[in-house]
Amino acid sequence: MTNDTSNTLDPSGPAPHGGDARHTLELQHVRHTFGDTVAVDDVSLTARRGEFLSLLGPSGCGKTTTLSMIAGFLNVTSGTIRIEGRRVEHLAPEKRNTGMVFQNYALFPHMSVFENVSFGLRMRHIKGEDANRRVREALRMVRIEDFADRRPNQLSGGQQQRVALARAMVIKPDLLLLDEPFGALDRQLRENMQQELKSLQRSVQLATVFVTHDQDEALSMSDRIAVMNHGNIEQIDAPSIIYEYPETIFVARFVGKSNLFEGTVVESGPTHSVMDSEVGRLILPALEQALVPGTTVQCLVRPENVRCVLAASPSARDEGSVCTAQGVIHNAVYRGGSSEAHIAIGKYLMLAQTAPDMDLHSLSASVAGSRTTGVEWNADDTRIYVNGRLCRWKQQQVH
Amino acid sequence: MDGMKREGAPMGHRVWNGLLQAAWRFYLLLIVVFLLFPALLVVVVSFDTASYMRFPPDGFTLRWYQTAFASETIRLAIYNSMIVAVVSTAASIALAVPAAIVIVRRRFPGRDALYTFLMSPIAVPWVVFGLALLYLWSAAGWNRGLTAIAIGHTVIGMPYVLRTCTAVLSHATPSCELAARTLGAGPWNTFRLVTLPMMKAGVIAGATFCLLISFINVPVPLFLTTSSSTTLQIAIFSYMFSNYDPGVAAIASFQLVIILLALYVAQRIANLREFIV
Repeated sequence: MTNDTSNTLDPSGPAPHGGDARHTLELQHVRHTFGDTVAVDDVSLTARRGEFLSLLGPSGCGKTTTLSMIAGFLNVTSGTIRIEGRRVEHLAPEKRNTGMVFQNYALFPHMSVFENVSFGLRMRHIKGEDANRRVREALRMVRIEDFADRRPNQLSGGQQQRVALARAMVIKPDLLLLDEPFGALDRQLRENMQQELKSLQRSVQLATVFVTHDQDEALSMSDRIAVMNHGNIEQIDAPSIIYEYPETIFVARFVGKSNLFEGTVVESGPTHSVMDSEVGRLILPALEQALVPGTTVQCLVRPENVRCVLAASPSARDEGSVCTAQGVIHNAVYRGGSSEAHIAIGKYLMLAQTAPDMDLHSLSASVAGSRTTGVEWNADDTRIYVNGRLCRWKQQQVH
Repeated sequence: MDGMKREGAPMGHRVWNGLLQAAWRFYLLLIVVFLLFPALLVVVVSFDTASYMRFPPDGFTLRWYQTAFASETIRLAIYNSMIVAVVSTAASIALAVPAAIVIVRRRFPGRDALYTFLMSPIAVPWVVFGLALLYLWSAAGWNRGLTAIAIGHTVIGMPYVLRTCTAVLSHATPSCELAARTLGAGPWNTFRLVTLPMMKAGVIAGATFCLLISFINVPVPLFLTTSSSTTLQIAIFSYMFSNYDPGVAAIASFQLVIILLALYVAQRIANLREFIV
């Protein structure tokens, strides 16, 4: 192994192994089975230079298995993995030049912090002053240079994770792999570490694959998120797209809170579409692909798009820009930064999230006794799903 | 013990803790009386001037040590015991360490059966095992002697190393070894620089047990020994049949010193406390 196989610091440089220079990581139709169990069914994805890519999903969705195949701990049953253009799926982990950070830190307990961080350099036969300098640099980068002589068990969880990060980055890996690295830290520390890692990762432009089941973590840190379910990628997109245009019902449910209710197509034309839904008739923009009347659809509205109003604006509703309904406030919960209310519309309980001091409290005061409220949301904040997949609005600009 | 002496504990607790401490001290006293005192007796007797064993002693001499170590049989026995102890301990480690890694780190059918099989010598009484070895050796027409004794002690000692190694390894996270691999260490370097050092305490603890067993186990050498391959415990045995002087106490004291030395060294390198509880 050469001393420095990485040129992630120089995005303009040629790919060292003759592959596609734009992709640091490329998975094509990767599959992993053991016995009759399909852990990863068919996963294809790419990560660009310096990109922060998260694999997000519930436990058992195959995200950790995917990471293990990238690292080389598990064999692929079929498919190819390329790192910097080089086929690696049959290489041992030590030949892939990745840096990995584990949830339980995985520091060598019998070595000092310094020895832990210098381990990868030692394996690359980098010694003496050069090695010392690089280790010091890495320790300074994660701000633990004062702890170089300590043993891992003398450090706090956060400090141990910094050591693990320094150890993974000091070897200048082509790819940084993070397996729920903040799972064992308390919330305050976790949020600090997230932002620190993110700025560190951005400053060295190191392509990173981050496995997590925490949607907030994925949304706040990632350039792109791959949402996984049952061994497949449901959607891979920028966080805002994942949240605002979930490609499938699964993604909509898994990322963020959502109101999902059933509807039937009444009319689907070139200028608008009409649905009869659990919360009443909806007049919506035209769909990219017209639907046959009578088709069953799922409608999604995010809680923060739902507004509570005293009276619906009939003109806006009639022109199709706003959806309205009448409901009864079932309960209202104050959450500090926001308020949440469950509003019964017919048999459907719709969740609305608003600014804390606004509608809900003033509203429940003004309509005391009846607790009846108008509900409205912008028509184009509605998402329509047929057979679990998103139907886009006509001429909708996603990007 | 320190936890019990916390200040400011309620009165009831203090009385209770006092009682507990008294009970603990009494227990320690019993251990001293029944375990250490007899051994101490042997040491004391070994310095006595009388040519028969008596207590209390009357006078001090190193004569019995001189007599004992002047004996060619005893010197050979000590030498043989050392050889057997070192060889069987080394063999136990060489067998148990890879076995522990495979059993703890791999998942394969028959894994539990393999572990039970390798641990089974612990359940066989030493006399039965010694006799069985004797039968096997005669049936096969092999020569009895040091090799046979060393093999016997390896079989008896190996489970102890396996037990301590699996205990230590199952507490060490496998991701350490995976981390070493991603950092560029191949399987051998990972074993040498990460897995083995993480198992160090287990190896040393198990090896100490092995060494001790090799010094105290009588049945195996009893059945397999020949006149040229007497080990220390057999020499003590046969000495007692023909002599009544404190020479045997001198040899036994020497054996005790070796065992204490081994324990002390092991304690210094690895913390044995976690295995003794």
